[in-house]
Amino acid sequence: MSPERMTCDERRDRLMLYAADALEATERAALAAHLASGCPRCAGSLAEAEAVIAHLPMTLEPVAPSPGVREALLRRVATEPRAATPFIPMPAPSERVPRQRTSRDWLRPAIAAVAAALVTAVALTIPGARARRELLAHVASQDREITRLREAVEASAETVRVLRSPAVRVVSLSGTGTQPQAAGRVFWDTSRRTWHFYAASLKAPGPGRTYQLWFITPKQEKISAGTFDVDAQGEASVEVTIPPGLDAIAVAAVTDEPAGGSPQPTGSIHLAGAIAQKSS
Amino acid sequence: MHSETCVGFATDERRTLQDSRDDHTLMNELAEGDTTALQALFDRHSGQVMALCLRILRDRARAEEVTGDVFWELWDRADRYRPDRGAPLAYVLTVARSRAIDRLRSIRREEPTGSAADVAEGSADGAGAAVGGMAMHDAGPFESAAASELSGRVRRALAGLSEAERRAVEMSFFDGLSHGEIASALSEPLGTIKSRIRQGLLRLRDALSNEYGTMGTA
Repeated sequence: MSPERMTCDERRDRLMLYAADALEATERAALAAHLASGCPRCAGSLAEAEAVIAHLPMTLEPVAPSPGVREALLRRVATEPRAATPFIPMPAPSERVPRQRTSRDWLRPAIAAVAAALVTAVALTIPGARARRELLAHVASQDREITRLREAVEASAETVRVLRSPAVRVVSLSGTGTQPQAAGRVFWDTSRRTWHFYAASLKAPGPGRTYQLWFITPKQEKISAGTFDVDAQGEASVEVTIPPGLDAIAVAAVTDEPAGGSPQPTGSIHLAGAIAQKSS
Repeated sequence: MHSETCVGFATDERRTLQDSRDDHTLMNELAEGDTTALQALFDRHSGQVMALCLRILRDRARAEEVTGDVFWELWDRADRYRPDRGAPLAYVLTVARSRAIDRLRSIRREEPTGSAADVAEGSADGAGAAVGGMAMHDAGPFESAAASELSGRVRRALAGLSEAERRAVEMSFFDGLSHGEIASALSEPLGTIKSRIRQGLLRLRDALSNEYGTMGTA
């Protein structure tokens, strides 16, 4: 099937190959044209594909370049002019305004179709009172359709905004050696400064013990995000507000602690996830 | 991977030399012209960039040259980074792969002695080309756990591929070979190679999506 006639679901697979630079030129061009039309769903699929590709090198063990590489780079920085255009300050994630362009782009074909229908209706039915009544009814029906479409577009745009929002970050936590089967996830709403934490497959913490979630800053300060217990299925959820002044969090982690929790971690680490490596 | 299960957290003096700014902050400050941000990014990620360049180019001197160029480009064209398109490290590695593959192709044009079959031989070692491993920066126990957890996720995802799929994906990704070149190096039909790369990439995506949960948009 040619890419022009695919659904966005079908394009999702092709975009994986597109990101890996593994498509024939004609297919690549057709997908590029579709992406250029501003389809938000395919933009999301492309971002997903690029994230997968970008993770492949992370399987390699780091290799230190010779000190001369750093020295030569700094010499070059000091002596060569820079091509980058003047800096335009970027708003903080919480200040970013959701892009509206895509939702209007979605609406445009619908409005164009409705407008075309109206023009046809007007051309065909100007004479006669009955025809005018029908035309008015038609306009009212199209108005309702526009409202319905607009609401649907806005709802979809909101979903896309949340999925793509730089303000909502998702942190994946994996079980460490103590509980490799365990997993966790934090949905970090940076604009509301909240963490929604979910854990699965955690064993009961043992008598007199509880689990404790930690914010770890880049400076390795550990700040408690509260204690929690797991249910019979090993699941747990915690919603926590990030303390004022805590602006950089590098790692989310879960330890087991004496009942009631500890001011600083003392027990084993059961879940951990790096935050800088967001992939969404 | 994580042998140290009970840890003393009170202080970790080794961390004091490390820049505490996160990658997003560093990219912003880099764009503003802060050279210390470039130094911090270099200190943090040059090991990963070098490993990738070395894996692709299999020559230390060339890999170092491209590593330097990648960080120069990061500085010179700081306006190209788009924070909404992903994490800075992913961007840096994307630039690194692209520059290393460009260099590899230009070397192949100039020195056409190395055949794709030689590459096929080498790629059987997987990541074995990386030598002189450097520890991830002086990380505390939580960061070490998180970093190995991330690479572990990708390794697990790769391990879920069949040997033939993994090899085809790696030859395409790390060796910059076209589907036709891979087919000829492995003496397999072109259609088979295309199908393996396609299946391999999709399985990789699905494996990582399952773990991340956020990659899927459907």
